[in-house]
Amino acid sequence: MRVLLVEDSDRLRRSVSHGLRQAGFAVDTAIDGEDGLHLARTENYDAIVLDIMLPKIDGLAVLQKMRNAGKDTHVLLLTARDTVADRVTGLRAGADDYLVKPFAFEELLARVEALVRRQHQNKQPRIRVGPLEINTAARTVERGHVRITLSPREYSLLEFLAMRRGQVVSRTEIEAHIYDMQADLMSNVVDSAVCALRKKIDDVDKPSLIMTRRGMGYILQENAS
Amino acid sequence: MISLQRRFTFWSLGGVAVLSVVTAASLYIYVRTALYRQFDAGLRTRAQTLGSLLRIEDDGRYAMDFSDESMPEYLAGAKPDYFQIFGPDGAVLEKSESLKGTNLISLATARAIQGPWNLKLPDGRPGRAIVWNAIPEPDGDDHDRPNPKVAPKVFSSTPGIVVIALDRSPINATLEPLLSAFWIGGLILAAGSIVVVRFIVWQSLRPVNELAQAAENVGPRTLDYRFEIDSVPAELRLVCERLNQLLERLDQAFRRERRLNADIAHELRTPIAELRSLTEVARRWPGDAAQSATYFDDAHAIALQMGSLVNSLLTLSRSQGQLALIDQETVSVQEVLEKSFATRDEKIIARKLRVSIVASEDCNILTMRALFVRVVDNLIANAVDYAMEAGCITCNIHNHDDGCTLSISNDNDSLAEEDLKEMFEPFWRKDSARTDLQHSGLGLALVTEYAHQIGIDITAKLPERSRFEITLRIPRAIAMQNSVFDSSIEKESAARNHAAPIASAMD
Repeated sequence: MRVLLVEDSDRLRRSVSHGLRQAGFAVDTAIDGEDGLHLARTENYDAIVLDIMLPKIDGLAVLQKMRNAGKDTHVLLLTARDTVADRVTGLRAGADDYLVKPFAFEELLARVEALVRRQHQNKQPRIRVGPLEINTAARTVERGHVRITLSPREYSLLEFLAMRRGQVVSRTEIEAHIYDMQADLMSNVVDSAVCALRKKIDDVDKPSLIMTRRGMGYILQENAS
Repeated sequence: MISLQRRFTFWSLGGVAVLSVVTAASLYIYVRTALYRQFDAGLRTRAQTLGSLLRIEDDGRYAMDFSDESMPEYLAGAKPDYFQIFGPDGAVLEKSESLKGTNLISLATARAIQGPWNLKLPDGRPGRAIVWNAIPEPDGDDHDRPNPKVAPKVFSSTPGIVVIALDRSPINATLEPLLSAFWIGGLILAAGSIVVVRFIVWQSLRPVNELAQAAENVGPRTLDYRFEIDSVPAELRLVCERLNQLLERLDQAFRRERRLNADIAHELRTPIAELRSLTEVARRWPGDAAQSATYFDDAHAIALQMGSLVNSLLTLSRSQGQLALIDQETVSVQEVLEKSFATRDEKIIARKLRVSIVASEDCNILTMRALFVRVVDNLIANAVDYAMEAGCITCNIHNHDDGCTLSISNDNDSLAEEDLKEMFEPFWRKDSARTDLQHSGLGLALVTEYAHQIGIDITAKLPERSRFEITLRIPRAIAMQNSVFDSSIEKESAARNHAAPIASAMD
C-alpha cells in the first residue's frame, strides 16, 4: 500500500516515514503544501497523512484543492491544534480522520491501515481468499492455521491483491501502490515479486492462487483451491 | 464586615431620633417656659396686689389691710391659694386662712429665694410660689403734707416680704398631655422612621447592590461583560467606568494568557511528537544501527530545541517582572548598532545586504546597557535574517526635543499591516507553519518587555511598499544628547564599510 506523508518537520517526517516503510507501506514524502498537492494530484495513494500547518499552502487548502480536483484519496490530518473547532474544520474540509500531535506511532499506523481498508471498501481486518487468511490489523498471513512469513513488500503485494480479489490488477497499478518513489523499478520487478510471493503462499500440489492474465496483469482468485 | 445598608440605616435612624428628641424637647421646653412665664406673671400680680395692702402705721409698724372676704380664694376650702407676709422684723404680719395656722415657708427661705419656684402646697397639690418684696405706703393722706407738730414718720426702707403660692395644676394639665403627645408621636415617628429609612436606604443603595450583584457574576468566562454606565447614578459612573477598564485589561490579559498557553502547547507539541515518533519507531524496529544513530542525534537536537524554548519562556517571564533600574551607564546608541552589525558580518555578506547608519549626531543614553544591547541586537538580528536577499538595512538616529529616536528599517515584502498588531505577541511568526526551528517567535516579545523595562517606546510600521521599519523612542529622561560629535565613530564606521557592506553617514 502506498501512502503520501506531507509534513514540514524534517525529524517527524523521517521517523514516521521510516516507521511506515518498516510496517510495509510504500511512502512518499513532501515537505510543504505545494509539493504535497502536486503528488496527491499526480500519483495514486491509498492514504495521505497531511499536516495542517505547512509552508506555502496549508494542509486544509491542500485538502480542499485535492477534493476540488476530484481526488477522493482518504486523508488523515495531522496537527498540533486540538480544539473541537479545529477538528470540525478539518473534517468538514474533507478529511477522513484527524490525529493530534503528539501521537502514538501505533495509533497513526492503525488509522492509516483503517483508511487503506476503507479505500478498498473493506472494513473487515481479516480477508479470506481460499485457504489464505490475511489479517490486515496484525499484518499476518496464515494458510490452514499455519503462519506464513512474508517480507513487508511481499505482504503489501498480497494485501493489495487481496483488497482487489477477483479483479485483474495491472503491473502499473501494483507499481503505483506497492512501490514508493525511492524504489528502483526495473521492468520485471513486479513479476519477480509475484513469483516470490507465489512460492510462499501456494501449495505445491495445487494451482497458484495468483493467476497471470497475459498482457493485463494478475488476479488473486478466491476459489482457486 | 462593614455593611453600607446597616451603616446608613443606623446613622439615618440615629439622626432622625436625635433630631426628633431635640425638636420635641425644645418644643416642650418652649411651651413649658411660656406657660410658667404666664403663670409667674399672674403670681407676681397677685403678690403685688397683696403687697399693695401693706402699710405703715404712724408708729412705724407694719400693718395689713386685708380681709378674707375680699379675697375668698385664700380662705380654707377646696383648692385654696396661699400667702404669707413677713414684716421687716421677720414677724408674720398676715397669712391666708388656707394655711390654717401653719407657715408657708420660713423667713430664712423667703429671704434666700430670688425667683419663682415650685413647691408642694400644704394640701399636697403641686404649687408654685413667688417672693415679693413690698415697700409699704405710709398710712393715711398726710404723707404728702407732713404735720410739723408731729415728729416725722420714720419710713422703713426694709420691705415686707410677700410670699404667695398658687396651684400649678393647670400648667401640669397643659404640659402632661403635650408630653404624652410627644411620647406617642415619638414612638410613631420611630416606627415610621424605621420603615421609611430602611426603604430609602434600600432604594438609594439599590444601584450599589445591583452593581455588586453584577460584579459577583463576573468570572473568568464572562470577562466580556461590561457594566451599564448610562443608567447608573452619577456617583457610581466613575466606579463603573473604572471597573469596565479593569475588565477590559483583565479580558485582554486572559486572552493573551490563553493564546500564550495555546502557543506554548503548540510549540511543545511538535518536538514532543517528533521525540515520541522517533523513540516508538526506533523501539519497534531496533535493528537498523545507522538509523538508530540518526534518531539519537535527532533526539538530542529536539532536547536542545526544547531547552532553548524553555529558556526563552523563562527569560520572558522574568522580564515581565519589574526590574529596578540599577547599574545604569551611559551608552552610545551608534556604538551598540556598530557592534551588533559586526557580529553578523558573515551573514550580511552572505545575504549581500547593504547596511547604513545615518545619524545627525550620536545619541548617548543613560540606561541598563545589557537590556538596551539585547533590544538593539535582537532587532538587528531580525533585520539581517528577514531582509530580502541583497536588500538594504538602514538605521536612523535622530535627536529631538523629547529625546532620541532610533529607527531600523529593512526591505521585506512578506509583512502586511495586520501583522504589525501581532508581531510583538509571544510565539508570533510570519510563517504560520513554524517550520523554522531557529526562531521560536519570542524575540520581539522579549524586545518589547526589555524596552518597556528601560522606558523605551517601540513601534512598527510599513512606511512604503516592501519596507519594514521599527522605531525606538527613547525619552529625554534617559537620552543625553551628545553635542560634541565623536569623529572616531565615523572612522570606525567607514572602516566597517570597507570590510562589510555597512555604510554609516553622519549628516
